[in-house]
This record gives sequence, C-alpha cells and structure tokens, in this order.
Amino acid sequence: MIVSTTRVPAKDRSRTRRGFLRGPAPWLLPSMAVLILLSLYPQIQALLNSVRLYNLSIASNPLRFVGLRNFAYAFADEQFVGAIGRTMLFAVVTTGAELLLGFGVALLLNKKLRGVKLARSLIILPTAIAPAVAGLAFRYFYQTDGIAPTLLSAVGVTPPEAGILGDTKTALVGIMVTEVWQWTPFAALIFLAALQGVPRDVLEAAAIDGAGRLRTTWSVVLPLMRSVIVTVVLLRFIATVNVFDIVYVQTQGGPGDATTTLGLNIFYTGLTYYNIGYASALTWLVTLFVALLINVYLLTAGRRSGGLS
Amino acid sequence: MTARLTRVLWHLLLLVVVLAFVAPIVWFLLLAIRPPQSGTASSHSLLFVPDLSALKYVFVSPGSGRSALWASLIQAGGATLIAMPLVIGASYGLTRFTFRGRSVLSTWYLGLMLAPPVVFVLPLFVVLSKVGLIGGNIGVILAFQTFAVPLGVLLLRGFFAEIPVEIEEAALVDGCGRLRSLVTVVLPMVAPGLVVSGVFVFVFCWNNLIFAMPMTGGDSVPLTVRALSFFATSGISWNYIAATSAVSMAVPMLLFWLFRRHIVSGLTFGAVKG
Repeated sequence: MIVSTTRVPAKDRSRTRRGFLRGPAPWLLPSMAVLILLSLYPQIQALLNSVRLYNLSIASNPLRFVGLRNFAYAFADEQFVGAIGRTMLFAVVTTGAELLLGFGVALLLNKKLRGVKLARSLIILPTAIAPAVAGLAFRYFYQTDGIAPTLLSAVGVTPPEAGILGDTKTALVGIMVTEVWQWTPFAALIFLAALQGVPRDVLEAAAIDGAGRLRTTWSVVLPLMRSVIVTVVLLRFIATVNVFDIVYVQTQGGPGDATTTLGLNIFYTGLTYYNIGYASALTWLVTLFVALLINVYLLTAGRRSGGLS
Repeated sequence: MTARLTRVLWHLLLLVVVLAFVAPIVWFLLLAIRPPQSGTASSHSLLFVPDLSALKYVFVSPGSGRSALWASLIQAGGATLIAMPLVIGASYGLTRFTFRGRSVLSTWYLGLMLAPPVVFVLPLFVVLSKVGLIGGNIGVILAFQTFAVPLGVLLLRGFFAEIPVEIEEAALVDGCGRLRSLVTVVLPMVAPGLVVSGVFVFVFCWNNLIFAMPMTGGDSVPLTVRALSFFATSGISWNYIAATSAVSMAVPMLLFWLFRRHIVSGLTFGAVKG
C-alpha cells in the first residue's frame, strides 16, 4: 500500500480555486452541527441535571441544586458499586477468553486446510447478527429443557435446577459464554489478517535458525503482532464494559441483581425509576472512565498506524 | 501415516470450530420452523416436518412483525441516508485540509463511537421527549446519528486518505469546483469505501436495541424490540421469538456475507487492514 500525503498547504489551494467550498468548514460543519445537537447538547443537559435533584416520579421538573451529592452518593450506592465490580469481572473474563480463543482460531484458519476459505467466511456470521438476537438464541438454549443443560448432563455436569440463567451463581457465566461466542470470530479474523501480514522470509529465517513451530509463534510472530493484540484487547474491553443488549434480553439483570452491569444499572435508574438527576451523574462517571480507556487506546494503538486519530 | 492422521485431525478440528460458531445460529433458525410443541418439553430432534405457522402468525396474520420489519427498514435505511452525506462531507474535510483542531475533532468522533450507548440514551430521551419525538421513527433515526456518523467517518476516512490529492488537483485546475471534483472524481474512486461504511452504518442501526427500546412504540417498534414482546406473563412463545429473530438475522448476515472481504477492516473502524 502506498501511503500518500494528502495534505497540501491550504495556501496553494486557495490559489487554484476560490469559492465557498475551498475551506474545511463547509465540509465539516453539517456533521458537527448534528453531533453537537444530538450528543453534546444532551450531554451538557445531563451535566446540568447531574447536580440537581431531578426525579420524574416526584416532579416533572428539576427540584433543586444539590451540588455534588449525586456523585458522592454513587460511591456509597451498593447497587452501583456492585454493578462496577460485575462489569469489570465480565469485561476482564470475556476479553481474555476472546483473546485466547480468537488467537487459537486464527492459527487454525491460517493453516492450509481444505475448506479453510469457506470456514473463514462462515465464522463471520455471529458478529453480523444483533447482540439482542444472539442473547435470545442463547436464552433459548439455556432453558431448563433446552439443548445446553441436555449437553451438560450428557458430559456429567449437573445443570442448576433453576436453569443456567436462573441461578445467581451461573447466570453471569451464561451471558459471558454468549458474549465470547459472538465476538471470538472478531478477534480471530483480525489476528488472521495480522498473521497473514507476517513476512514469509521472517518465518523462513526462523526455521533455518532451527526454531520449531511453537518457538517461532512465541518469539517471532507474537512480538510482530503486539500492536494488533493491544488494539483488539482495548476495543473488546471498551465494548464489554459497555455491554447492554445481551444482558438485557437474557436476564434483565437478574436473578436479583446478579447480572446487573453498569449499562443496566444506569438504564434502570434513569428510564425505569426516572431518577434523572442521579442517573445523569452516573452517566458522567462512566463517560469519564471510558474516556480514560479511550485515551489509553489512542496512546498505544492509535499512534502506531495513525489510523484512528 | 502419522502425517496423514494429523492432517485428518486438523480438518476435524476446523469442522468442530466452524460448527461451534455456526450451529447455534442454525439451531435457533430451525426453531422458527419447528412444529409447535406439546407442553413445554423442547424437542432436540433434527427430523421434523417444517411448519410455517409461526412465520405466518408473525408476518402475515395478525402480522405484528410486519410493521416491525417496516420499522427496522425505515429506521436503519433512513438513518443511513441521513448519515452518509454528513459522513462524506466530514471524511472529505478531515482528509483534504489541515486546520487547527483537526485531531481534536477526530478524537471526538472516535470517542462518540466507543462511548457506552447508555450515556447517550438517557440524555437524548430527556431532550427528545421534550420535543415530542419519542414513540415514532424520527426520534430514533436522530438518536442513531450519534453513532452512525462517527462510525461512517472512521470507516470512510481511510479510503479518502488513499486517493492521491494530485488526481483531484488536476480536476480543480481544469475548472471543476470542489463539489464537482468530489462527485465526479473522488466518490467513484472510493465506491468500495462508500459501500463498506454504508453497510456498517445500516447494520449497526438495524441491530440496535438500546435506543430503539425506549424511543419507539406501536408501529415504530423494530424487529429487535418486537422479538421481546413474545415474553408474556402467560408464557414464552419461542416459535414467534425465533420467527421474528430469523428475519432480523437474515438481513445483516446476508450483507456481511456479500461484503465479507471488507468486514475485518470495518469491524475495527479501519484500524487493521483486512
């Protein structure tokens, strides 16, 4: 690929052509206007609401200024703190599993096997469907008389009596499996693309030096793929911290609050209990946290390719 | 002999892996055409006479899924049609000009793409309900723009950046205006990029649940939300859920299959070339 510099000093341009469209503003302003109106403005409203007592189930308008009390309350709120812990557990386990399984599948898909091209195309399918629909499918498998308990019994594991999603100990695991099933192909296909980008002569050189296949993967291929691995880990970690759809359709956060992640906790606070002020404070806490993650992402992965920022 | 055996084992492993990712989809799709079962016991048999009554119930008569299919098409299609001109403009502006704040703007778009949807849903719900746009197509189409525009820009920008600026300059010297050179010279060259970003924007809107659930109602409820309506206190109608889901799944699976070559670069917002 030829990387071309697409920037030409603005001065040269204005000489070639004068007119309304010669500057960047008319090109950029429409999309900026839409995003300011639809995301920045509501978020600023949310910031204003976050320092107010504003509960639609009490009154239709904000009642009074409460300073940072909504934020302070969040850290004493057992449900919110519990949701943070659950979300972190969910994000770490699923990202780790997607990383390991994805790498394994990528190594397999990189082999010269019959039908491997078809396999690569078929494996995309889980990532195409709506997370809500994937969640519904697995909820169906997890039913007490569904295929999953039947298969578990067949290998000698006794499924919980209340069902996989009905038991507080296994519900989150069931959702994790759904998440890993849907997004492992994503990791696998990116790793595959990176594996195919490893220069053949590097691999041949390693072979000539007497390195075995495992040794080559570990000390030659992995270091070359470092930045791709970091990209995948951060993208999946951010996405799993944001998880909502698959949890909502499988358990609505239950049983009890065993699977209530951050997304559900905030959704319920705002749109079920109409506690707009407090929910707004929570959305800002989460925004700040994800902004931190995005900055980590930009500093590590984004700088490498210049592709994202 | 052992070499041959290992080759057979590798092929077997490949088959198992493919089945692990595809079989759940097939198993769930089959539910849509399984005959309604007696009692609650699920049948795991693969041998059955296909029964289209669930699909008929959902999409023909009474057909509550038909309006949902329309709503999904209107919302995802409408959101894509509104987003793409904005995406093209922004991608052009970000790749053809240097100006102060350019990287801040890119970072903002990336941040919007990666931020948790729940932080937009609540404030947008409050604002949209004040102007009476909750419960119809327009509100949710507007809400989709919060991720549709940034997603489209992150995907299309890379394609614009690969078009040498000299090609366009020739057109400019020939007396073309910028808008004309964009339409006649640049856009045809980035046609694959337009398709990829358009497909992704459409699929992300089509698959959305979190915005559509609180913001739509009645005839504007799309498929992803409609499927949930078959969880009733009287019981769960799995056949209807699967019938609704089957139609919801078919569209993005078809699009991903058709554009499978571009999917990897799409899924990473262009960060990794696929």
